[in-house]
Amino acid sequence: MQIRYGEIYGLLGANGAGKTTTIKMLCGLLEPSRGEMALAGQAGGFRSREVRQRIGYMSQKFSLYDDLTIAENLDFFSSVYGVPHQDRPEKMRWILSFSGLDGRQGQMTGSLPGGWKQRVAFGSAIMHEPSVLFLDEPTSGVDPLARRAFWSMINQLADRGAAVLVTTHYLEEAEQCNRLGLMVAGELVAEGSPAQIKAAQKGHVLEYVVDQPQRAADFLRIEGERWRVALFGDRLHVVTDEDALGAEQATTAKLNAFGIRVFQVRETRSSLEDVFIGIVEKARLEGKIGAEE
Amino acid sequence: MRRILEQTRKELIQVIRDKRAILMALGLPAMLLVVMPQSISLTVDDLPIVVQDLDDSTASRLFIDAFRASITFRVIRWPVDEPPEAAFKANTARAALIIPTHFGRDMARGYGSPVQMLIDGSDSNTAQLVSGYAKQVASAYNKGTTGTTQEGPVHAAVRLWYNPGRSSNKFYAPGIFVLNLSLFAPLLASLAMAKEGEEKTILQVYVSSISAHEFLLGKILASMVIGLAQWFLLMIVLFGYFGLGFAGDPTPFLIATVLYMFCVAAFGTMVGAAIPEQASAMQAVALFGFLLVFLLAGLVFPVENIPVGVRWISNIVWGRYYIEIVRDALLQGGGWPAMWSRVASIGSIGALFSLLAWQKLRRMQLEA
Repeated sequence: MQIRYGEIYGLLGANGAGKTTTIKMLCGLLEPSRGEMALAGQAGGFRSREVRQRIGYMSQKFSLYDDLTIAENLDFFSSVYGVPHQDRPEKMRWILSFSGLDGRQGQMTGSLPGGWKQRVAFGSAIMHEPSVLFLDEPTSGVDPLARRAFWSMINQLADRGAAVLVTTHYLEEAEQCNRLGLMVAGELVAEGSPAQIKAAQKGHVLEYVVDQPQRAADFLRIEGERWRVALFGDRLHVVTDEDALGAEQATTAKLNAFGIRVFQVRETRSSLEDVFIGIVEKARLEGKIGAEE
Repeated sequence: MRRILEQTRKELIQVIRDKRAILMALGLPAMLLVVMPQSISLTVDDLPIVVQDLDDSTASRLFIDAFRASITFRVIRWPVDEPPEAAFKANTARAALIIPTHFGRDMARGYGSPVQMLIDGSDSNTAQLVSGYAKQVASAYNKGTTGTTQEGPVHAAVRLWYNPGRSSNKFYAPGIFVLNLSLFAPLLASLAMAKEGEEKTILQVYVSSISAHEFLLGKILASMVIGLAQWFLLMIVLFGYFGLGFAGDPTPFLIATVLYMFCVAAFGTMVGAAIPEQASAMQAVALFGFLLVFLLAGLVFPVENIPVGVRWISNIVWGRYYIEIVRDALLQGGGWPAMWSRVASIGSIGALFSLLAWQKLRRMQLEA
């Protein structure tokens, strides 16, 4: 796995796949169990002040100090991150306007709603303009509008030349990354741009509209391989290896025989979600990870 | 340096905003200092004593009056037909004086007459004191009635120095003063440190460019400021309420105070770093800070009285040296020649604690 400057790399994976651990090892919070890492052009000494000055990290549960005001938090973090004194007022104004908290810097941080806290936290993690940025689920608990603001920030930072490693559970966010890595049980199982990853998925995806989607999904999962079937709202996605038409007919026949009415079938391009579910389910099939239920 | 001060400033803002912390730093210690020296006083006064006067003569009443006149005892009449033991069991008295029937006659004839003194020995310390006082009262009575006391060729002329009134407050108030300083400042320090680990704010500190010693010194410095504020308040109580004052050169005391605040702050910070959980860290500090200083520092029980097997521990109990310095400054006034080694010991123990805390956080990373 390699991340270039100016690139946004999205790390995907189910809960417990090892995304957070990877990030913690990269920013020096955890000693790596094995393997090699290089960061900001250095192969070791990640704990040195020079390297730390260049990295930014926002943990999954970023904690500002709840008993400090927003301004006091920003003040404190700008000092421990080594932001020069003369730059601080400007940084502070910038973060406040980005997080929509202008004029509220005297408010106690603990009283802010989660999404706003997250934005202040993000701001304070990038105040020192790091060239390598680690974001561990930065947008969890953030509303869609604010999430968009987050991503435009992340894009800006990458445009300025920062290397960004971000983990997320929102696959529409993953689409915005330049490259993606998919982790299962601590290993990287797929890597590439979103388009490459989707294209690498073999076979075809059939989208079914049926009268009893849940029942149909359960039935097909028992009938065939579990990873091939996924439910998206009221749509049923079935992945096939053979030619699309033959598989479509066979599956439709099976469903009809089970007493499920098929309203509509069409072949669709596989989405990231298809790939994600497919890979995780396959890994489960191989016994790499435990069952969800 | 700037980072250290920023860290200190942040810690102080957090403490000032926390009403509980302020109460723990200032309110509670001042209250305890006023209340505790009186409650752990080991001298005896106004002790209830029952008297059974089987003689009921002029002489026996005079003898009882001698007891009545002493501030140590409070005489309670006890019916002659009731066993004095009942008074012990009912907790109405801790001692009983029984005057035999022929007391008055024997005294008039100039014979010696035995009187019986029963003492409830379940509290051995009090029993010993009561026994001593009773003998003194009896000998004073003898002196008054016969005009002479049998004295040997050697006469011990006793003078009490430094605390001539034997006021136990003057001994215990400095002890409680030290106990307070040994308990509350490190308690707050450990809470502040453990909280960073518990609420994961420490992760952000780890990845920032502050280094372990800056982070720790910033925290220790903040705790020292709080400790010194507490010290100042408690000094006002010692001087104003207990009427103590400096007996000699106060500089060893003042310097030792700053070092002692460093020592206890480092202790609390070390515990908080080792146990990143507020409830447990607090218990650990309370256990060590309180128990060691209370029991093994010579605060209540003289160090010389501690059994040899555990006495060596008191050599590393930081409170021991400070207690000696405080008592010296307020009572004896020995100054630097007497105290320099103790001042040095406090500084060394504090340095050891901060070194251990630094060792724990040196890498600024999580443990795998």
